[in-house]
Amino acid sequence: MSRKPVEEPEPPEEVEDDAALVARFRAGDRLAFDRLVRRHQRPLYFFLLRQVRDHDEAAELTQRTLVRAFQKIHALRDDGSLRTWLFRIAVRFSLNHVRDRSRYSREDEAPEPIAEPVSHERLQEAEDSIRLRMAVAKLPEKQRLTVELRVYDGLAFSEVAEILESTENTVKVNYHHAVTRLKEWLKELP
Amino acid sequence: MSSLEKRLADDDAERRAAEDPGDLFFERLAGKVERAYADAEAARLRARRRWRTALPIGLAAAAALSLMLAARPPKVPHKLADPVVREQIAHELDGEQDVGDDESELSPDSVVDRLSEPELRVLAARLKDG
Repeated sequence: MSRKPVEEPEPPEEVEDDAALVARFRAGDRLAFDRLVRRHQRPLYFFLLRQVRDHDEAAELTQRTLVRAFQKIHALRDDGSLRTWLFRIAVRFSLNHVRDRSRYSREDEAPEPIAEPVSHERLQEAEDSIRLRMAVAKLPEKQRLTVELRVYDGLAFSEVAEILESTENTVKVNYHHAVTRLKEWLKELP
Repeated sequence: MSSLEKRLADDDAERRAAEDPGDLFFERLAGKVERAYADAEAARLRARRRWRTALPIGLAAAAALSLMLAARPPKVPHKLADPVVREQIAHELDGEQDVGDDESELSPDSVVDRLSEPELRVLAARLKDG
C-alpha cells in the first residue's frame, strides 16, 4: 500500500501575530506579506466603504493603503502596531479622497435604503437603521471617525488616538460628546 | 456598552453582512495588492538605478562647470570698455610702473638678487672688512 508523503503542515495563519509577520516581511518573506494582506484587507475595506460608500473606490483605496503601508514599513516603529498604522493611512487616504470629490456631500446624502422590507417590524428596523446612520454621518469629522473606529471597528481608545494623531483623553472627550449628541438627535426624531 | 453603542454595533454588523462582497472578491483584492506592491517596488528600484547612473554624471558636470567658471577671465568692467578711460588708466598704471622701477625703491634683497657673482664676492669682502 502506497502511503502519501507526509507534508510539513503550514502553521495556521492566526498563530503568528502581526509583529512576527512584519519581522518576517522585513527579512524579505513574501508569504508573510500575503498573510498580512489577507488578515487586514477586510476590516480596512469595510472602514473605507463606510467612508466612500462605493465598492470599487473602497477596493481601490484598500489596495493603495496596503501598498503604501508596506512600502513605508521602515517608518513603522512598533511592529505590533501594524493595524493602527494601516488605519491611520486609510483615514488619511479616505479623507483626501472624499474632499477631492467636490460633488460629494456626506450630510445631504441619505444612506442606501435597505432592500425590500417584508414586514412592519422589518420596515421599522430599516427606518431605525437609516436614522442611526444619518445621525452618525451628521457628526463632526473627528467625532464621527472616533465613533466609527471605536464602535464599528472595535479599536481601543489608545489605538483610535494613534490613528487620529491625538491624545487618548481628547479621543475619550470626543467620543463622549458624540454619544451625547447622537442620543439627543435620536430622541428628537419621531 | 450602552444601548446606543450596542445599536450602532449591531447595525454595522448587519450592514457588513449585507454589503460583504464575498470571499472571491477578497481573494482577487489580495492578488491585486500583491501585484500593485510588486509593480511599485520594481518602479522604485528602477528609479534608484536611474539615480545611481545620473548622480555621478551630474556631479561630474557640476565639477566641470565650476572649473570652467573658475578658469574664465574676469569680466572687464563696463567702464573700461570706453577707449578713452582705458587709455587714461593705462597711463596712470604706467606711471605707477615707473615709480616701481626706481632703484631707490628697491629692497636690499632685490638689489642683492641683481648683483653678478664677482660683484657679490666684492660685496662680501667689503662686509667682512667692516
